[in-house]
Amino acid sequence: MASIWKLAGADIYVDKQSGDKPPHFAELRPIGSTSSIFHEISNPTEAFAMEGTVIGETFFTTLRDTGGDVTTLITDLVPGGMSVFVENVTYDRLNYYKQTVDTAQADDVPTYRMSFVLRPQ
Amino acid sequence: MAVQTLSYTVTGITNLTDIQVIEAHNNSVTQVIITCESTSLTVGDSITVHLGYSTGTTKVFTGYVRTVLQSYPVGEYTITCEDVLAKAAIHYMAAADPENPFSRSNILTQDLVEDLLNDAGITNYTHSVPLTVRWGTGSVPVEFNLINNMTAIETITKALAWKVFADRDGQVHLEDRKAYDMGGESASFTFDTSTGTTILNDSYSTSAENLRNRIVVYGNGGIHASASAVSPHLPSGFYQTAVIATPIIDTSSLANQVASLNLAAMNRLTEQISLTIVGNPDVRIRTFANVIDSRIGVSGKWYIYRVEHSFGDMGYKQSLILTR
Repeated sequence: MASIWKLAGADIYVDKQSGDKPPHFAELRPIGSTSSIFHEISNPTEAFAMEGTVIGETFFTTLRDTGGDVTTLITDLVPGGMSVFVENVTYDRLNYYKQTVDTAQADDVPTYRMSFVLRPQ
Repeated sequence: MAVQTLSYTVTGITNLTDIQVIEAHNNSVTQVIITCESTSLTVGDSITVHLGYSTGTTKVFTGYVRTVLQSYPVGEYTITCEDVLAKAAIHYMAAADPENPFSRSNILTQDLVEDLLNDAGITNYTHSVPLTVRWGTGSVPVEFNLINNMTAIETITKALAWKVFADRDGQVHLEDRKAYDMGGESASFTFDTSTGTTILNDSYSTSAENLRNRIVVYGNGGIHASASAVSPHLPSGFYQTAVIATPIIDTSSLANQVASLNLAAMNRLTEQISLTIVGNPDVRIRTFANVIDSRIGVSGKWYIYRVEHSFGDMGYKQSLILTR
């Protein structure tokens, strides 16, 4: 079931979230060794991906323009909001005849599928 | 599985991306190249570099910033640094009165070198030399003009097959330091492939390319000398010649001394090992290591001739050249 999240104040019906936080290691393999030596270089910022449906041109434009910005993400788990850096934004327009999800908007407003890569700050 | 966390301290930089430190027996100066996200350093600033792990770091460089490059759109800085002897390499000796250049008479080598270093603003200096050699003892003094101080110093030190170098703390040394065991020197490190902990790759080579078994010296006013010896590494009766020509050699005895010192230093087969090892900041040039690798038939004590530290995205490694 999708959650209604807000990114930069715009609604997005999120139905997919994934992420990773890979520590950065260099692996060294000495001659004659029976195990590798790992040099820990850094512990990078977590990155998570978010996908969902966006109803209406106003929300779409707001979300599309967040790329490269630090903004606020409100989720079901963080209702007070968290600061995130928007690393990437992609979108596809959905060819629906009508939408009934957001009753505050007309049923023939454009509908988009949007995905984001976010990094918590 | 061994996990080591890299650790560093570098003056005046933030968010280091990569650092390379190049120390070599045959280089006049030690060089450092730093890539970082931001810096407060400007040209001429003092800088020290410590590299290692969370268990401990070691100072590997003391020197000065030579260039600062800021690039976009990546937005990073590239900083190059050199040790204190860069001052001698840059400082140009140009007497205000060409009739009165830098001049010394009847002066010991170590004192002449000290005066040349002081002239370039370098005062932190020490010496340890095995011979008493004087310059400017003939009819004319030893003079230098229209060259940089390092070239003047190296004219002297190369004539005697000695070395001037700056250590990791920034002190300049004058020593009779050859790139091989000069007698009874002990190894500080062991690199052994059978332990499987240190050597990432290695190779071994021998060459007579740098062997010189005939030295010819040309000095001031027709003074000359030569020295030669048969080499078992060259065809019978064949000589590879090196010429040392400088007007500061002003007596026959000095010319003979220069010829014999350089013959002893240069009439040698070059044996060389190239190693890449897991980074150890205590490994430094002008020390010795025992190297054992039965696959390439190498064992014994070797002089650490060059160390290039690579510290960054690929971990901490050192590329070494060892000689004997």
